[in-house]
Amino acid sequence: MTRPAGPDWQDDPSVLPHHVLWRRIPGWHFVWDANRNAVRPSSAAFDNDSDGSPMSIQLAAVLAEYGRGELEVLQGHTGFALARFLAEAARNCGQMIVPEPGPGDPAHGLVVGDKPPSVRKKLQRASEWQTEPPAMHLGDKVLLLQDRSGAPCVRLPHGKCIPATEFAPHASGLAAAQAWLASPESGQAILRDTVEKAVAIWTGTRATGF
Amino acid sequence: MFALLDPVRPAEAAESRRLLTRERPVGRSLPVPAVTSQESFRRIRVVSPKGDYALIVELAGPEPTWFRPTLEIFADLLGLPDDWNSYGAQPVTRAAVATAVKLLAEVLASDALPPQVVPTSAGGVQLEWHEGGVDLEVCVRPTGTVQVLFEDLASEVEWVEPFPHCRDKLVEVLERLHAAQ
Repeated sequence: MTRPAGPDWQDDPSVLPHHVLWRRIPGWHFVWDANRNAVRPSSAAFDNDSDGSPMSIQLAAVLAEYGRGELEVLQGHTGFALARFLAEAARNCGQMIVPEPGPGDPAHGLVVGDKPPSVRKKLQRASEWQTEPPAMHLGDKVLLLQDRSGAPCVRLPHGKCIPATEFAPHASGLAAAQAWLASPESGQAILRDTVEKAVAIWTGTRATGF
Repeated sequence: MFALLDPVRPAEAAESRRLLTRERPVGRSLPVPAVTSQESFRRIRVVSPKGDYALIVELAGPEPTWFRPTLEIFADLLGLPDDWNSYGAQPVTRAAVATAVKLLAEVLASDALPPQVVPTSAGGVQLEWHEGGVDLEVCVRPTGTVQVLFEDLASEVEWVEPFPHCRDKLVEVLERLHAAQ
């Protein structure tokens, strides 16, 4: 159950409406949205903690002050991506933004307030990817992802994950992966290494070293 | 069209034990879950990929196409560790999975579109369909209570209601998704 906002919580006006908030999204929360033709976070990713504590975020402006960025927030979280949304969007959902810096975590903050399904949905709708998710749609609701070790795995339409070595993509899915690798957008993408490995597996051209 | 299933024998007191059984340890080398006959019920046993959970469901009638793959995900979810989302998430509860399985068996046609299944931070599961101009999310809390969120993207009709209060509406939406398949 969500802990209701208590008297101790107070929205911090120094977090301006246009300030950007980041939230880590685990691979389990990547969903294929056929209506939007995109991989996006599930609304389940925008909930309070299991003990009722408010939802944690990182204040991007504070991170920048400390010279930190996406890599630091994602460090140690293989297979995760970052979603971003504005403080204004959260407040429009009846939430308060409360900075709560901790040791070694100066940009930590909270999005305080009840989060019934409708609010989670609105927060999800207000979000976009800060970092592209390490996931690629191969057609037929099949996603190529990273497992915890960074190795390529495939999530089948129902959600089951199997190693890429146990999957044979449709020709169109393989072609899409190859085309993406050849495109400029893949250059700096977190997913590039995963897609390269998967394509090598599926085309039988495994490079030395894996 | 709706081949509704009776997922377990109607012995309510024993239902949760029948529906979900945790087994430790189970070897990784177990074969694909076997179906064995037992009177008019078939016992379906699905083991999680790590081999530490097995779901056992007694099923009457034909096995829906979505049934076994969806159970495999649920078995996988039951093996999630603490903090799987890096924000202190809880492992998925058996009560949530039991409720989700029973709900799907009650409302989903045998050859219907299966949901995407995701865990929730509190230890529940969420069943999602995002297609055919519809966003449908069935949120099963760790205690087994259920809320359904529906949105028609074209008409902007939207509702959030508890299940089973919205059962008929949910079946109607799933029929619509099925027809658009």
